[in-house]
Amino acid sequence: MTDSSADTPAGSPIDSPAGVPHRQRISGTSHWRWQRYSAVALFCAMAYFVYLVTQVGSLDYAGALAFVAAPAHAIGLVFLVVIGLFHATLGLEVVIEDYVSLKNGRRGLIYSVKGVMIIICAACLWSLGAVAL
Amino acid sequence: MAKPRPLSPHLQVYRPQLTTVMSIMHRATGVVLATGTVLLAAWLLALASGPAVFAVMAGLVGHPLGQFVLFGYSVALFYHALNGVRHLGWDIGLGLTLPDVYRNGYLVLGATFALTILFWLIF
Repeated sequence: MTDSSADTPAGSPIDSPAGVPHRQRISGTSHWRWQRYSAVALFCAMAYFVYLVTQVGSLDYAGALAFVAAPAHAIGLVFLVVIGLFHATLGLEVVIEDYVSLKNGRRGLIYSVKGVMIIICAACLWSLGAVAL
Repeated sequence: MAKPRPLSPHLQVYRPQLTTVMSIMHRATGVVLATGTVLLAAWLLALASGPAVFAVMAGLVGHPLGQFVLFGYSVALFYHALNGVRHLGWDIGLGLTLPDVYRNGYLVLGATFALTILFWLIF
């Protein structure tokens, strides 16, 4: 994500210091911001998740099915899964960027992680859909 | 390149401190939580697949090893969530002095311990 040859035209003088072509994509600001936004949302989702586990833990199949199929919990779980996996992807991206120094390996690894996260997300959403709809 | 550029001081020359250990623990627990989402996906898939598959899943969850994994996951969850609040505080400039960092560090560790115990008493 951090290196693209596609230069965008220079923005304001603040955006492009003398001699440095401004490249929108080189900035990690939006990544940093979204990591914080999703953290706040995920803290609420985490509290809900803990509550959910205490409730579902003792249930049998029929009980768990009815619990998760309730619209409020199904929607809550969709929120939890999407926000959680989004936050996880952003976090893993930073970890990979910090520790994997081979540029191509790093990019490949980040794309792989994103792919796996999309698969996990799809599996969760499909299951929730199958249970609740 | 004539000779390799100097690396940053090696990790081993530093005595571990509360701040550095809690920092790397935040990362480690984050990776654990990210990996653990596979378990949530597996549980949901099992629920969607019917009683037979769900029974296998329930067996895995109920197994001592499964319980151990869940216990580890709960510690990671509480620690990362609480320490995340600490990080968000720093991001807006709160609790950044050295005494504060140690105070809220111990607070996070204590709260993680308390919440984990409380959770497993209820669960």
